Amino acid sequence: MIKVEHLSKQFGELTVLREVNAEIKKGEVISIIGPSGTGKSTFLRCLNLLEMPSGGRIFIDGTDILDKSADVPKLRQKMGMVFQSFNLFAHLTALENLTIGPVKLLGRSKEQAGKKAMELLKMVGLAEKAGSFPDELSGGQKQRVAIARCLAMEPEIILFDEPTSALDPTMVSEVLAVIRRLAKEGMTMAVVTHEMDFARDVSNRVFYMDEGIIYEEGPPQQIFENPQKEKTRVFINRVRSLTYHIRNQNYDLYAINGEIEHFCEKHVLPKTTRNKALLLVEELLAIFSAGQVTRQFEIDLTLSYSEKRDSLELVAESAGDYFNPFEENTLPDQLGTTIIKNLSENMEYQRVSDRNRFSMTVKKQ
Amino acid sequence: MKKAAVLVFICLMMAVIPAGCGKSEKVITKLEDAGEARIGVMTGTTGEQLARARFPNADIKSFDDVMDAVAALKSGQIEAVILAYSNAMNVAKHNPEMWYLPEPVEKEDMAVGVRKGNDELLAAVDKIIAELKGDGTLEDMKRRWFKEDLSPYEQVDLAVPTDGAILKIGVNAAREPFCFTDENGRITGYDGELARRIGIKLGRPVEFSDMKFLALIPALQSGKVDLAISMAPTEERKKSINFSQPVFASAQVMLVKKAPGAKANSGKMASLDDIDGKRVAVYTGTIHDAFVASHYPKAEIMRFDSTADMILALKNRKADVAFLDLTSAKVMLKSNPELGILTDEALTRPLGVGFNKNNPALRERFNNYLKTAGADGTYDEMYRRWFENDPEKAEMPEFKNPETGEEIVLGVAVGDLPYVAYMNGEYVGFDIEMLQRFARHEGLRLKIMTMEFSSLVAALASGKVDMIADGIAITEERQKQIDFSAPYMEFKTAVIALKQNIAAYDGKEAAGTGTSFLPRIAASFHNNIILENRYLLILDGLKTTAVISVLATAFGTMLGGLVCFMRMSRNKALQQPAKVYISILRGTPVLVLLMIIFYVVFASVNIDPIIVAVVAFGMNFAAYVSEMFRTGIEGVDKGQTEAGIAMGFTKAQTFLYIVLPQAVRQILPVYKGEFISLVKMTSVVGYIAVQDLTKASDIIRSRTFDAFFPLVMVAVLYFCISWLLALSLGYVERITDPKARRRQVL
Amino acid sequence: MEITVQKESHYVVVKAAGRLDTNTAPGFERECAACLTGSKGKIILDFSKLEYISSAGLRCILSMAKKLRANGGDLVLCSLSGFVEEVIRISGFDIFLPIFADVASAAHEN
Repeated sequence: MIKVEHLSKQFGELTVLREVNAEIKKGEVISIIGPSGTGKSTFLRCLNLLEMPSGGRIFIDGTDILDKSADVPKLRQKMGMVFQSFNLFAHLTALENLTIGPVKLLGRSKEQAGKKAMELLKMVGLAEKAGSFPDELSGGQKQRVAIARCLAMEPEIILFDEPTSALDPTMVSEVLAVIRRLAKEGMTMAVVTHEMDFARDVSNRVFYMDEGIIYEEGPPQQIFENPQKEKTRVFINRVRSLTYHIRNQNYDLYAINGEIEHFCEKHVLPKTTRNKALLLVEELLAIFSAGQVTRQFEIDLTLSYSEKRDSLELVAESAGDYFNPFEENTLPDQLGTTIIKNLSENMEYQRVSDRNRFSMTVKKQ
Repeated sequence: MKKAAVLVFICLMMAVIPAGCGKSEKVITKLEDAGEARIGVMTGTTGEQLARARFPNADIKSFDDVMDAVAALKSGQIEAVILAYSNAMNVAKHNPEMWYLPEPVEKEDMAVGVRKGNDELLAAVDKIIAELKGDGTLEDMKRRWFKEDLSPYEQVDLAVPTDGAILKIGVNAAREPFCFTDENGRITGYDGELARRIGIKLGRPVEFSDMKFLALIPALQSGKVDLAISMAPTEERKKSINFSQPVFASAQVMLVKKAPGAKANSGKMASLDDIDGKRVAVYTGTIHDAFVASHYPKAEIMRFDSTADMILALKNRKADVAFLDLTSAKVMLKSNPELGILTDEALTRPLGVGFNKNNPALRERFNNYLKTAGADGTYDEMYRRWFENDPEKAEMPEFKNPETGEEIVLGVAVGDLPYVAYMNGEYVGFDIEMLQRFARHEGLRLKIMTMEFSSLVAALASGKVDMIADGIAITEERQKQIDFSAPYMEFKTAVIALKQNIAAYDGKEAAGTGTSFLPRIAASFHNNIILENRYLLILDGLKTTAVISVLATAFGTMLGGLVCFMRMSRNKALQQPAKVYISILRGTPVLVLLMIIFYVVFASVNIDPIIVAVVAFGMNFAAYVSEMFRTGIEGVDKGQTEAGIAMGFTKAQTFLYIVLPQAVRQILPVYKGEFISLVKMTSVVGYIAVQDLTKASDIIRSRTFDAFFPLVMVAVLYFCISWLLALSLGYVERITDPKARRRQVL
Repeated sequence: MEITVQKESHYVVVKAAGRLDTNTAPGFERECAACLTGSKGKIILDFSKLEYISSAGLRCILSMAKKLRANGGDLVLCSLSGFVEEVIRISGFDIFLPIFADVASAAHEN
């Protein structure tokens, strides 16, 4: 449905898109992920010519939209866009936001448009807000109305530009729910997002953008679980897990705690799991401090969460001589190890390339 | 609604009451009269203490310097000043309307102040004073400095030493003739000379520090000065500083304004030369203006645009004399009995009707007519009607303008009888009758346009009118620009002033206006509004103001939209001219723009000045409107436009349906304010001969010389217009508020 | 960590609020030592407001208990909740130290 060839975009001296080639077929849901500033939004905005490309061609249903004779406004009517900052028309009610396009552009009658609009509002769960103005709605409500507004134009594809980035975590799910439903109903969509789990669940294909091109693309299983290219792997890991490097014995326990708490919040983990994770880390670090009398005190902690398995994994790697506190009795007491043993499962010790590697999962109950 | 009406009523009452109260200045002829008066004194002087002690019920006002107190006395803010007698004498010399009461408030001595502890200096000064007294120097100084007339002071050359420890003298050099600065900035006067003499005797150079009187004692105490010259020794002061033996005997006296009809000496004018140095009111652009400027350079010339304003200035003592045409003066004097004629032999000039230099034919025709009128007695009849009998009772003969025939435009300034006036809804006067007869004689249609007197010549020269008349004197200056007919009248100048200021009227006082408040208001109302159907003038003016305002706003808004579009375009060829337009129009006063368009742009074009007004105000308004629009449009979030574009609206549709409604909401309040400003600005259209609301009040005032009713009435009407406009725009604001809409729907 | 001390005739109630971990344990021990002026000190540790405890905290409680018992006193715990209770259980401290439901019952015992 959309075909992009050799797309490039410069802003003055800065090249944001180098050479982008992609194809989006009808009925596909494409997620576009990647580090900030790599042109994800720019790419999306080029598709409906909100940004003018510097080079390349874009075909929508076979029509080259960059051709001088193309009727761009008309083409845009078939493509909906949902913005990060909602952009609802401030001087119109929610209902009017939905009817203005169909009435003025598609030639529908006011009654027809109104009826369809009410149905759509009902579908996104906001029928009673039909007469409200945008400044009377919450962020999540505004975004849902924005999505409904797109649907009112009966588009063939909807472009989502970071639809939940400006939302309070509590409102993110209500919007994602709507988008999920649309995907289920077969709407063609391209979504730029930072919500990895959502992207993994909902997409047919994922574009990982980096270095001004589509660095890697493939089905979610590939990108999220088995990335082929190095940079992709790094990105996925970074986003999925928390890593903390400790370089000396004067580590700041509370700073580490802060990061762990934030990570748990992000993944909406229960308080007990969080407390267990905190305690495990504290005890591990205490053991290492007590045990390591050698020169370097170097520990890498990694906490990762798998939504599928609903499990929190802790990996602690320390440099130095062979040291496995669970085997030896070199510690003053067994309090720490007892606690660790009782709060975790699948504990494993490995000596890997001159480093001590402990991995375990946080016990659930 | 009710609250607003009550508020308006209260404001009107507050405006009315001060006008109703007559102006009454208390006149003090003896000390006892000052019991409850407002008395000015200088801070820190003995006068201040005396005033409080002697007049406990009076309102004492303290000033830092003598001239401040005198200025207050002059303007009527206080009724008396207490100060040292030689100061008072000096002030009275220069201000003949003031004099000091012969009975002093208190006698006192003047001495030199010395810091406590500086006994050596004190002894030396005492010795010097004794010497100067003994050899008669002090007496001589008194003679030379405390003079009764205005002749220059006799200076004595004193060689003051240049080496040695400097003797620092503190003085208050604002008290002539004790101590003041001469035209070279040098401290002089009695105290100045005394200080120098002391310096010579002590063999020390002298340095003066001029300060406010109340700062002298602190300066002495802190050692900034060694001597303070001169002050009166009081018990209070002796606590802080020491005094030498008395230098001379003085007294504190009371300075007051002379009563009307007081037998005191100079101050009244007797002849034309007495106007030198006074405030002279003249009519802008008339020969009087030039006459006074060249013959009496010391006179302060005040220019007015109407005779009514000049009379008002005289009555309110803002001017001392006024120059007008003799016959007009006689008419004025009838309704203003407190004014009198100083002289009627100031200036005599012939009068003529003005014609454009390019139209000698019309002039010829008029000159011929004049001869005819002179021959067949018409001229004499007119002269009798307007100049010998009472012009106010004159009846204009009926004239009807022919339906067809060449139209000629006559420009006049609505000044005063007997030349041109506006009564009962029509133009009357000698000049009017003369020119109407001329028109009928020649079969021409006469159209009359009014404007400011000073604009008449310009209007004629630029071709806006064909002839001008209103008692215009033929002068060389004017003849450079326009041609005159043969003289049809001789014009005599009268110089008038308040009778109380004219020596010749001594003893013949005007009857007081002691009528009470309400009847006066009622009479004023009747005079200004009802008489001669003057309210019709106001209604006409109101209509004109409204028409100009509304049309100018509409034109200005549309033009403003266009300019805004150009200003916001990315095309430099459109953007630059728009920017230039905006800055020029915003930087030019509307009046100047108005006159440029009328007199320069449309010079020879016969265009209705109302159209010119609409164009000028519209152009000015457009500059502001375009910037308003731009701010409003730029204030709409960019995301709105993006959403519109993304939905498939064209740029134009996005602007029209999404950006514009939001921008308009933002700017509506400011627009309201600018609209109301425009309405008030239209009050200057009188300058291009449009008879609007303000001009209507001018015309009425020229007949009644009353300031209050015409002005207040017009102000109230402007207020009403603005208020109504604000209400209607407020209504528009409400109905365009989308949220208000919703409340109706649901 | 906030510590409030309430001295009674036969015992002292020490209420600890917040976290008892590697960072706060030393301070806690100092505070408690300060209110043990010799004799048959009995300390009741009120943990109703304690959210978190780690091995460092446990060690310091242990050392305090040993010292008190050596002087004829004792250390008891009360008002344990949720996570803290679990940690104490899995570390085996519930065998070693008496645990009561609240201050009243803890004080009632001798």
